[in-house]
Amino acid sequence: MLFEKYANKMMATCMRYCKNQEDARDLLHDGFYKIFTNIKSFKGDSRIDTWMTRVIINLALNKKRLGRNKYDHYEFDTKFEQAEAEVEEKPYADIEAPQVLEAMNQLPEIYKIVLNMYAVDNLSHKDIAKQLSISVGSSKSRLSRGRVLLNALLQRK
Amino acid sequence: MDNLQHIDNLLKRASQVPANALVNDSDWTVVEKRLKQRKNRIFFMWFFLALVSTSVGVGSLLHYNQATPLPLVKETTDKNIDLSNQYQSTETHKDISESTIADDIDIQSEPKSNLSNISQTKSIQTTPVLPASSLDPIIIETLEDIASPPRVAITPTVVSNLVSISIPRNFSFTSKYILDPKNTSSLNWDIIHPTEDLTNVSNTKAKSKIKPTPTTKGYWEVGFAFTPSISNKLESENKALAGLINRNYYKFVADREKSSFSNSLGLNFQYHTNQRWYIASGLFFSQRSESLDYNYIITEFPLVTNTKINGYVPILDPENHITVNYQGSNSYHFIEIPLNFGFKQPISPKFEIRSQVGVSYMALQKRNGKKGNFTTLELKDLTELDLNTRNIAANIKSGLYYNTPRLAIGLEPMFGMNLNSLNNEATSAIKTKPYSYGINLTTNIKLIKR
Repeated sequence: MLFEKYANKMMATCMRYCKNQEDARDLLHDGFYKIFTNIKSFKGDSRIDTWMTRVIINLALNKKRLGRNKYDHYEFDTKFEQAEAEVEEKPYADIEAPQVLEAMNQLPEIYKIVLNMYAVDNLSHKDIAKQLSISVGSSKSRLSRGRVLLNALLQRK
Repeated sequence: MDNLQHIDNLLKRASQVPANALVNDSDWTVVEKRLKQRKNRIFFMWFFLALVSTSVGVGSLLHYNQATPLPLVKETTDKNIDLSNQYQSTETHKDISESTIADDIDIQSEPKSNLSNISQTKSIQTTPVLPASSLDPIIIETLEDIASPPRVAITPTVVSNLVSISIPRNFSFTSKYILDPKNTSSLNWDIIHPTEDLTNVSNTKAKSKIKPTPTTKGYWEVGFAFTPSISNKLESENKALAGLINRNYYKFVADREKSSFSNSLGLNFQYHTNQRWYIASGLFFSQRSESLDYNYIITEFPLVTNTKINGYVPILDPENHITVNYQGSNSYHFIEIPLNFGFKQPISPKFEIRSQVGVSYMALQKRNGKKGNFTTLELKDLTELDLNTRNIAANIKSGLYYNTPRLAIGLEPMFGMNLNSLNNEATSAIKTKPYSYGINLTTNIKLIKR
């Protein structure tokens, strides 16, 4: 069954786009509801889990755009500026996955989303720009900025 | 920062690790429940749409497939038309048939003219010929040996608005006397004693009068209407105040408000014109409603500056958390005055399809229930909310009516929706447009002058 097979994977995607587990679970429910109601639009030109991931990402972005899940009203924290200045290159070998995800969750939403879409979901800058209604240049700069901030946060740990 | 591209790989690897929040059966239960609700909703909506479209479709088909009835009389001439010389022409019949409807038609004998007709008929050696076309409204199938011999012609004459037919004194109808078989209902001519010797009738106007049917004049219908329905609402953000919406409002409040049963009851007034159009109005007590199932805990309060929430301050002491657990339904009571324009299409002598569309003035009279505030999420009584008391709604209904001479009983699927927001847009960040759909049950008494 579709839900049993892919629910955990989709939950991982939801977790990446949400601030907390509760929101992620809501997104998962909404996402699967949408997947089942729109399953006819899946034409089989990609893997089903890729399509499902896209549906969930679109839903997450739409919800953010509509303000339905205003998970975070980020104001840029100066601690990121400081962290960026203090950064020293360290090996990542000893950094565990949960630490990376935790650091990701500390990033401001605008960087987190672009990083997720580009690095994990393999979307191009063009697609990201289209989905987020921003320019390609903004997408690139957000990615670059997100990398720096994430690196800074990981180095501090 | 290309040297930081390895961050991407790190992130990708991290995301491969299964989420620490694993999915369980309760998640599937939630999804399954929503899918079932959708299925039921879709079924009901399709059923409702099917009812409306079937009603409208049948009505339209009947309307457009029906042959256009010929008016009985097309024009009026000031001259008397003596048809005795033109009986061989079917055109003559058409002229008569298409003349203007007389308010009163008498069949009277005119002995003098008959005599001349007889002589004329004799002189030109003609026999009355029946009109070939079955559409000709006046058909005298056989004039069985009118004063046989000699043969006699009938002389229908049109005098201004009055049509009279000259019949010889010794004329007798012994066979069918058909007046426009296709349009008898529209005229409802009563031929009294069709086989009776009309010489007996000739001097009595009353015996052969045309009775106009009630539908040839406008009339009123008055009655009761009751509409059990299902109410819901369309919600959208008021852009000017959207910043005041709590980040949890949709999840905790809006998404927990569902449709509910409602009803409308009142007096119905309809004025039916002599065509197929009618105007409907009335006075109704209408209700819109919603069911609520709130269950949340307020653990933070919003920091509001001007018209925007700038942040949230957590309530640190759990004892100060506000638990909202409320199940119930809200109802909004209106006095509704509709103004609808309708069209009716008979489908049988007793049944007709009626469709109407229009707008309603809806004055909010009363509200019962509670609602979560869009900024603080606190439960507020509906009476504390700033709602518009004057509203405009659109409505459409179409359905089947059963007609008796005195009553019209209808069953109409209907849909009505507020056109303006029920919430005052000057103070509310949420725009709400309630709507309802249901079955309108109507019983009207026809007030027809006889």
